[in-house]
Amino acid sequence: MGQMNVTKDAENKTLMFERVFEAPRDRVWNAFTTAEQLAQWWGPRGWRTEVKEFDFSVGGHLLYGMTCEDPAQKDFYGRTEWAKSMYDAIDAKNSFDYRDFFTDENGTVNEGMPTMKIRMEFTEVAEGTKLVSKTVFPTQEAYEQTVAMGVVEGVGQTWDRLGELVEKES
Amino acid sequence: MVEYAFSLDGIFGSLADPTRRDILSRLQLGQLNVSEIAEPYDMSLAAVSKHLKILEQAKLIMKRRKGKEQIVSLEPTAMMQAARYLEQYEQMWNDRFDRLEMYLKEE
Repeated sequence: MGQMNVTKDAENKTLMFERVFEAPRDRVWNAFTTAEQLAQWWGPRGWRTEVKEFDFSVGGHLLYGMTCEDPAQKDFYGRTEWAKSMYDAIDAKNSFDYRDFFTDENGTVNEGMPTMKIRMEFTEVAEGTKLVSKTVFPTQEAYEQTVAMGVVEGVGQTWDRLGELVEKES
Repeated sequence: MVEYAFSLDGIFGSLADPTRRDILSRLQLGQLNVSEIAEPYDMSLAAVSKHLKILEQAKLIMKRRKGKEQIVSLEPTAMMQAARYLEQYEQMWNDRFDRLEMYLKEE
């Protein structure tokens, strides 16, 4: 498998993932922009993706359901989750921008949940195609606070556990 | 994975408000009752309770009753989840790229 490079940019609340694929750019672009192809690899391992609506154009959207078919994923087995991508900008073969939502099966967006903005970029390189995915988180504060709280809390818990251990043994 | 991202979206939503973030920061120092939480803010107790309800729904805090008082404390599990969020998100894209790579090789 290829190597994925990760760049975390807290200032611009952006996470960036990069990977080079040994395939021509047209092929990689088509894997994202035709329903039959996307359904074959988009969903998580063990989940079947069914594309219900697809209109790859600015203002258009993708509505898809993912059904877990892997009994080993216990609680998820048999479940279907619906999601929608709304396309905000398309620069053919170069990039597209979309927003990601969780929905019901009719495509009605779950209210009150912030959305992520994602940009996919396709660049021709010597080995094939470089793919870059940039996710912008809803607010700078949410990004930072999440990280900061987790760290503080995580440290606190570690000390707590250490305290418990020391107390038990003494 | 899908459900995981789903619940974390709720966490991000509840963190989008400065009062709620402030409440969480103060609770990191220890548990408080509802009126203690409300004290520094220039808003009604009802408004504060509304914020607490959102935090409770996102499983960021828990409430328990002690006599007449309601004691509020942080819910550590959700906080840890939040901290692991970026890692999980990264993993999701890595898996997705793996599957794309396999798909591109198939044809």
